[in-house]
Order: sequence, then C-alpha cells, then structure tokens
Amino acid sequence: MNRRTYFSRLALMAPFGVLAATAACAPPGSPDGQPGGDRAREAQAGSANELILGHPADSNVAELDAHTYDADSRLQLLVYEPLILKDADDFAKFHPALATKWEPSEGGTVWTLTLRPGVKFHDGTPFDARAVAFNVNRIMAQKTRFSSWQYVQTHKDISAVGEHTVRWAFTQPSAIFLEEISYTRPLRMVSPAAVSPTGDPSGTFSKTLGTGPWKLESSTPGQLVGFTRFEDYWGSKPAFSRLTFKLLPNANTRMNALRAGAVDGLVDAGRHDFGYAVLRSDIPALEQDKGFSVTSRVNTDVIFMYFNFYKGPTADLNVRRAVALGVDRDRLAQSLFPGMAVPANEGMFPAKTTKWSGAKLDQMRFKHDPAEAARLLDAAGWARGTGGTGGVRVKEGQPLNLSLLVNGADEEGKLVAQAVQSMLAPLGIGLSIKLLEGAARSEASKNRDFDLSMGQAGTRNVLSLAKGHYVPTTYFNTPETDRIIKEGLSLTDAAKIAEVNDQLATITTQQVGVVPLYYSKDYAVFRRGVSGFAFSPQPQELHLSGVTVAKRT
Amino acid sequence: MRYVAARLVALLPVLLGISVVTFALANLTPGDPARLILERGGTVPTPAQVDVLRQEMGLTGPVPVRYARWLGDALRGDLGRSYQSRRPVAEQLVRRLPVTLQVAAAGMLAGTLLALPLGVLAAVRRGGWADHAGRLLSLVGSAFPSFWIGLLLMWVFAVQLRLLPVAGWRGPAYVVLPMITLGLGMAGPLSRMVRATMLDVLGEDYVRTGRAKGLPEWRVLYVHALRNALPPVVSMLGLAFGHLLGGVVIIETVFGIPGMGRLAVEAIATRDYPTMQGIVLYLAVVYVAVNLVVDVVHQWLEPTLRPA
Repeated sequence: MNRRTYFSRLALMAPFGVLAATAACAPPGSPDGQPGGDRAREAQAGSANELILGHPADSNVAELDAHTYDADSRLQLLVYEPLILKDADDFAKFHPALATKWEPSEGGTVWTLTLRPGVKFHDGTPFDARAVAFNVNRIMAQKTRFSSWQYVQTHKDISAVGEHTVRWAFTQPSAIFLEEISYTRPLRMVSPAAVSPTGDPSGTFSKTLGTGPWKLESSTPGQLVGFTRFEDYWGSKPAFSRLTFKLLPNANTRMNALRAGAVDGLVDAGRHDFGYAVLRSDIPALEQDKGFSVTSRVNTDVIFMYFNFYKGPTADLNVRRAVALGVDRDRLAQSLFPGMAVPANEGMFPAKTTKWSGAKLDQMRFKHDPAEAARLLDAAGWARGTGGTGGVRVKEGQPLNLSLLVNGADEEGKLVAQAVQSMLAPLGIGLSIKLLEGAARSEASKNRDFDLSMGQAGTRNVLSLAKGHYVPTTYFNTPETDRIIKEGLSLTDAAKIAEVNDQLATITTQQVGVVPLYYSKDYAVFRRGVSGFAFSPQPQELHLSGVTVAKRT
Repeated sequence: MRYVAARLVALLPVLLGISVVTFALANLTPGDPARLILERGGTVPTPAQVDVLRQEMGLTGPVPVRYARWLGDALRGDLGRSYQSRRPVAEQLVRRLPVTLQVAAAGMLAGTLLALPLGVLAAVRRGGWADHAGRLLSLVGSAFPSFWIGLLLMWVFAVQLRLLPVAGWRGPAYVVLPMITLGLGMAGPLSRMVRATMLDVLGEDYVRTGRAKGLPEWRVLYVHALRNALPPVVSMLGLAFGHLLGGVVIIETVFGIPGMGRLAVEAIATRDYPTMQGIVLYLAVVYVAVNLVVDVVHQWLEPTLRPA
C-alpha cells in the first residue's frame, strides 16, 4: 500500500472510529436504558392512547408536592385539585371543585365548606373532612413559607363537623379568602397517605397522591414524567390512558422535537421563567403548516414596568406619568409580537377579569401622548439638554438618565426594554438597560437600586394583588394604600369590596404605580390527530380534559 | 507511585482552597435564597418573613462559622440538602455526575479521534486538502457556538433525515449528536496543534534515519514521530477537558441531557447554595484528577520529565 492510499484510508476510517466510540459511550443504567433506575417509559409520540408533550421545565417536576412552591405548578391541576375554582372571566365568581358549597358565618370569621362526596385519592383514601383538615394543618406546619397568605396569617383552627363538612375558623374575616384558596398553590388537596408517617401534617412528603384525573406513574429527573389515567376519577375521565412530558429546556429543541414527531404537542401555561413552551418565532410557520393545529388565548399575565417610587427622578409623579404617556403600547405589541400579544390598554386589571364600567376603564387607561409627556417633564423642571447631553433632559445639572432592570435570561424583556428605550429617547429621557440575573435583580429591587424594572403579574382580584405587592419593598406603596388594603382585607360585603378594588385601581392609575405594557398570549400546538384542546381556566396550569388522541397517519 | 501519592496529598489543600472560594462566592453573591423562595408564592415578602425563613434555613450567622459547619458535614459525606428539591445534594450529584462525565468523555474522544488523523495528515500533506480541511474545521469549531452547531446537527439528522433522536438520554443513539457537537468544537484547535507539533518532529534527524532505514511510513509517523509530538497535545487535552465540562452545560440544555450542567444553571439562578457548592467541589475533584492523569501520561510519554 502506498502512502497516499494509506492516508486516504485512514481519513475514511476516522468517522467510523467516532461511531465505535459512540457505542462504547452508551448511557448505562437500568435495563430499559434509563439512567438512575427510575421506571421511566420509552415514550413514543404518535400513538392513539398516549399523549406526549414537550415541557420546558427542568427539575422539580418529579416531586409534585402541592404544599410547596418547589414543584412545577403547570402540572398540578392534573394531579391535585382545589376546593373551589375561580372563574376565568370574572374574578368575583367561583365554581365548585372538591367543595360544592361554601358559606361564611360569625361575621365572616368562620367558613363552612361542604365537600363533594364519593371522591377518592389516587391511593384509595377517601377525600373527606379529615383530609381537608390534614391539608390545612400541613400548610400551617410550614407557616413561615406561606406567611404572606391572608388565610395563613389569620388561621385559628379547622375541624371536621361531619364526614363531608369542614368548619374553618379565623381570627378576622378575609375579603380574599375564596380568591386565595382557589390558587394553584399551596391549598391543593394532597392525600394524607402522601406523607410519612401517614396523616402527620409535619411528616415528610413521600408520594404524589391527589384526586385529579392523572396519577404520577414514573419520573426520571431531567428527562421524563409519566402519568396514567386515574380510573376512579370523580369527574369526566380523560379519553387516553397515558400522558408523558418530555423535559426539554431549550425552546429550539422543543420545536425540533415537535417537527421530528418526538412529541405530540406543546402547550403554554403562562410565561414561566421568562419563556413559553412554544417558541414565538416559529408560530407563523406552524400556523401555515397543515401538519399542525395551533390555538391561542390571551392569558391574564400583564407585563409591565414599575418604578422606584422612593428615590431618584421617578419619585416625582410627573416623571412617572411622562414615562407612562411616552410608551406607545399599540406600537410596542404590534411591532415586537405581531398578533401574539395584546396592548395593555386596560391597565393592570383588565375588564375581562374585573367588571369595570367603560368610564372607569377610560379613566385608568394611559394613552400614548408624547406632547403631554413633554409638557409634564417641562413642568417638573427637566429642561431639554443642550450640547453634550445627547438630547437628554437636565435638571440642576443632572441628566434624566433612568436605569431599567431586566432579567438577563428574559429575551422578551430585553426586546421590550429596547423598544421602550427608543420610545422615551425623543422625549429626552435616557434609559440604560441593566441586565441582571434573577437573584441579583431581586436583590437590586429590594435595595431600590433602580429607577424602573420589568415586572410580570398574573392578574388577580385588585385587593389581593395590592396586598401582595403594594408593600414598602416593591412597586408602589403609600400610607393611603396601606390603610385601604388593611381595612379592605377584613370586609365581607361584596359591594364594599368592589368599592375598595375601585379605589385601589384609581390610586394605582393616578399615582402611576406601574406602567402596564401588554398582555401575553398562550399558544398550544398539536400534531394532526390531537383535538379537543381547551386552555385551563386556571391561567398557570395545564388542562387536558376533552383532548382526544388519534394515531398518527 | 510516589509521585502520584505526592500529587494526591497536594490535592487536599487545593480542594480546601476551592471549597473556601466556592463557599465565599456563593454566599457573597447578591441574591437571597430565602427571599427567592418566598417570592415564588407570587407576592413580595416582608423583611420579617425573609428573616424568619433565613433563620430556618441556617443562613444567619457569620460566613466563616457557616463555612466551618458545612465543611464538617462535607467531610462526613453530607453536602446538605438542596433548597429547591429538598433532596440530599450528594444523591443528586451521584445521579448526575456520571452523565456529565460520559458526555464530556464522549466529546473528548470524538474530538481526539477526529483531530489526530487530521492533524497528522495536515502535517504530512502540508498545503494539501487535509491541511485546508483541518484549517476549515478549526475555524468552524472555534467560530460557531456549540449550541448552534448542536441545533444544526439536530435539524439535519433528527428532523430532516430522522436518523437520530432529537434529545434525551436513553441509549447509544442519544450520545451521537452531543458527542459530535462537542468533538467538533475541540477537534479544530487540537488538530492544528497536532499539525504544528508533527511538523516540528518530522524535521528531526531520527525521522530521517527511520525512513533511511526503510521503516514503513506508518511506523515512522505513528510510532516514532507521533509519540514525540504527543506530549504537548496530551497537556492540551487535560485543559480541554475542563473546557469541555464547561461546554457540557450548554450541550446538556440543548440535547435535554440530565447532567450536572443543567443542575448547576438552575442552582445558580435560585441561589441553591448547597447544590452550587457540591457541584463545584465535585467538578474540581474531577478536573484535578484528570489533570493528574494527564501529568502521569505526559511523564510516560516523555521520560525526561520523570523525577530522577
């Protein structure tokens, strides 16, 4: 063999060497090829009896403990159910879930809950009054973690007064009791057998056992979570028997998995960790592709900016108002997310969820009015800069340069920040975008080391949102709001609560506590053959009842 | 053996130093894990609520005291519990480390298997097609980010050709794309180094002598020349392994591989101190161990480095 032939052959052999090495490096593990020895399944998309979804979450999916903030809330409604459900369109309305009736007494300090009969947990334990008491007591055993909830702060005792009746007493009435217990967490019904020792509220969580339509079957951390249909489910049972989530943290990989047929679909459930399950840039192409069906809805998440209300230029109402009037929400939503976001022209509390009058909505709306914004800045003493200021306004020698905090992992937030920057520049407001990762941003926010910050909130009842957020360390806080919230929280009369909501919304707008930007949309994409999907009434959760799966043709 | 034992003893202060730096960095970086946990409830916690939880989590008290407590537990094999999953950190690491090591080792193997023949060919055929191919590979490997190469390979081989799985970690087929992605990034610069060292060696007298004696060309190249060209390449492999461990973080996310990289990213974002410290400590041990092996191999290849 001459040298030329020898080296040519050697070059040809190299790729085979790589492949041989590949085989040598095969992931070891249990006989099914799974590392770690979990009973994870070899999920195959395209089957008629199984739905496989790509899921963006990474870890903390396997240990679905409803009574923590650790588990992935998007999967909770599949396994754990609430006592009552909030209406998706009217936040003052609630629907029965595991409780069929709820009545206040003794001036609103006692709630009597009537439970749905015939309900079982996945382990066969009956769902009854003792189970509800166990759940409440388990949350109270972790009071520190849940101390921001009004029902945790005012809890007195809970007792079973019959097999299916619970009496829950509080030290004072709560205007947001129903709202709070309808949330995704922490008050979801977990079987007393889920902890060890069984029924001990201080016990250790050991099994994922709820009353929901899906039972956790297996999980491989970082890879798969598998559910099977709960055959004794009290409600309408799913049409297919297996449900698998493939954990794919990278958005492009999820889209590739969908196109390659490795998953049957992708479903958004709000904007988690600054991202969606469905990659936004791929939606137009998927909508044109006959191999897929795409559905969407406007979710209740509001993306907004909030101010440093306490120091710097944004402590001045005129500056805050100028920023709010200087942002063109319509242009922002349409240019950045054409058809995929709705301008937040109804403010932090959209009419969809809070039944405002038209006049009230108009009063709360920030119209794009750059002329008025400029007038307000002039009135506040911020004069147009000359010379080397680059057009930035100046007051007492200080330029009007504001910092906007954005989470470094929030790609969408960066785009929005740049758009806002370009909209405020003609007004003479300089905006520097400060990218910090999550924990550092939280710290900067706590230390008030910012002028503006990007925020996101699932809309709630106004009073509930204000209670959680209008505190001195965050968005917006005045002695007046403190007083209204404090008095409002102990109200029981619906008309008076509505009045408080109205007052808070008015003050929020008048004081420009926040600048609402847009409402995001949820998307769901399925391969042809998967039908009947409807988004969950609970905005942060997946809901698959009504979905049918046909074999891929 | 004495050399290895001495190196192992020298490892102890290195690990201690790493643990001090890791603990200090984790605890002095802005961000409060207690606050982050409470914020996950969707509301902003009051300072009093944060303080109570900090106390519960053992985050109060001076950093040196907390470090001493952590070190004492770590020496007994207890790296604490994750703030996130509440599982023992050691258990999570034992599950995830082998996956990361396999991905990194597979990448290194692929890179070496590509780089060695290509580097030798490039040196032998200087200015020829192999030389140009090596240069192109080096450019591609260095200029294109690994996640982009990974997604491109995924698009071609998994989506279009359906030859390989998109992502996951369930069998030999799942290793192919991650290892090629990592290997391509590494093979470029490595092949250039092999080429350069081979060119040096090929000009040596003993190569000419070997050829004059009529030795087969493969023997001249692979037994005599390559062995003498390898020591700097082996040193580079040791460093490259550390680089690969860093690159694996991205590859694990792109290919949905349940390794340590993904765990690390999440632990940093949530200020999960016990997990962060455990990961850095484990990876430091691996890195130091790999470099020890590299040094030993280096000595074996180059007897002049052996202690007298």
